[in-house]
Amino acid sequence: MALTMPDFTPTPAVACSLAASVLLGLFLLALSHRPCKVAAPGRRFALAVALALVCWSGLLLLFARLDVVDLLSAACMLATAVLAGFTLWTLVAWGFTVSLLMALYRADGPLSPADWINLYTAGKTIDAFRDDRLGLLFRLQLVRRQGDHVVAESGRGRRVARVTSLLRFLFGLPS
Amino acid sequence: MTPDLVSLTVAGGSLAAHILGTLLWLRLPGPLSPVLRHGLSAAVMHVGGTLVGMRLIGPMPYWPGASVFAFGATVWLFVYCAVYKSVSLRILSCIARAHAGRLSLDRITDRYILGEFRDRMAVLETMGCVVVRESDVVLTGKGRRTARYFEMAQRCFGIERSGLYGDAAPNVSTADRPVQK
Repeated sequence: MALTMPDFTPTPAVACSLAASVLLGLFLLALSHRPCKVAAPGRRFALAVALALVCWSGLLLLFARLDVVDLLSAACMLATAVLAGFTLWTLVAWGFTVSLLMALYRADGPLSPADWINLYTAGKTIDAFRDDRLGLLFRLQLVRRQGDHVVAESGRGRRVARVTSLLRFLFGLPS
Repeated sequence: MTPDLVSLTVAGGSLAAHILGTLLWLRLPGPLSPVLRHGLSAAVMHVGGTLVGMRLIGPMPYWPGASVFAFGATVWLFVYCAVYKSVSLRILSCIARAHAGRLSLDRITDRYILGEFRDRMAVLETMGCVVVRESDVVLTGKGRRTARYFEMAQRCFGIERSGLYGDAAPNVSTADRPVQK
């Protein structure tokens, strides 16, 4: 049987998603510089996504036809762009390993491991870093403080921990 | 079955093959990074699945299947990165596994927070971005080039400083480094 090429022509809804994905990048660029600059990187990304979603909805209303599969594939396409963009954004803005590398690069000379960590934390103690990472678990009510100990919540905390351990096992990562 | 559903079914099969493929490949030793393995597996399974679909089923629309496959593969990578890199999730797992499901703050700092720093430093050393000379850490040529790329990306997107304490970080050189507490 001869191979028949699939139809590569995007439907109007998919074309709207491709356009919105490009707009997401452009909005991020625009919001990163004056006069539209949003200072906090997290809020900046959220605003860029919101603007892209507004444009996407408008484009869909104008050009797309009402078809469930078409709209589902369009939504998946835009969600892919948002997730991929968020992954890259977190790497550039908050990436742990990247930030360590950048701290050493900006120091412009050899550093002891202790000084390297100190530069990364901008002179704050290592406990501040620990409290920041624990803060997320406290906010999501996965753990609670008990004196100078941290306790996993018996319901949600333990369930999330079990799922995490299972996934680490599946991925072949050390537990 | 409509052509759209055929395309979605082929994508579902390719995605299942990608998930199983990465679960196997990530366990094997090799020079490629885990994220690169995810990307290569996704590309191969997508192209392979599309070719097999064309051969066995015939013509079908490309985009319905491609968009669902792309979304599934991205979510799969996202889950992997969250489990692989998240310091918070790692601490939670360790607390839950500890005796009575509790750990002291000091133990979390000593064992898991400093351990994370050591792990990330080791990653940079393995990648050839840094070397240790007489107990000091030195940036290599590759590390300097990689840092320049990230500096360009950060400048392009208006990020002055990356990391946890990005906004507060001063531009400190080795001449005026802060004192370790």
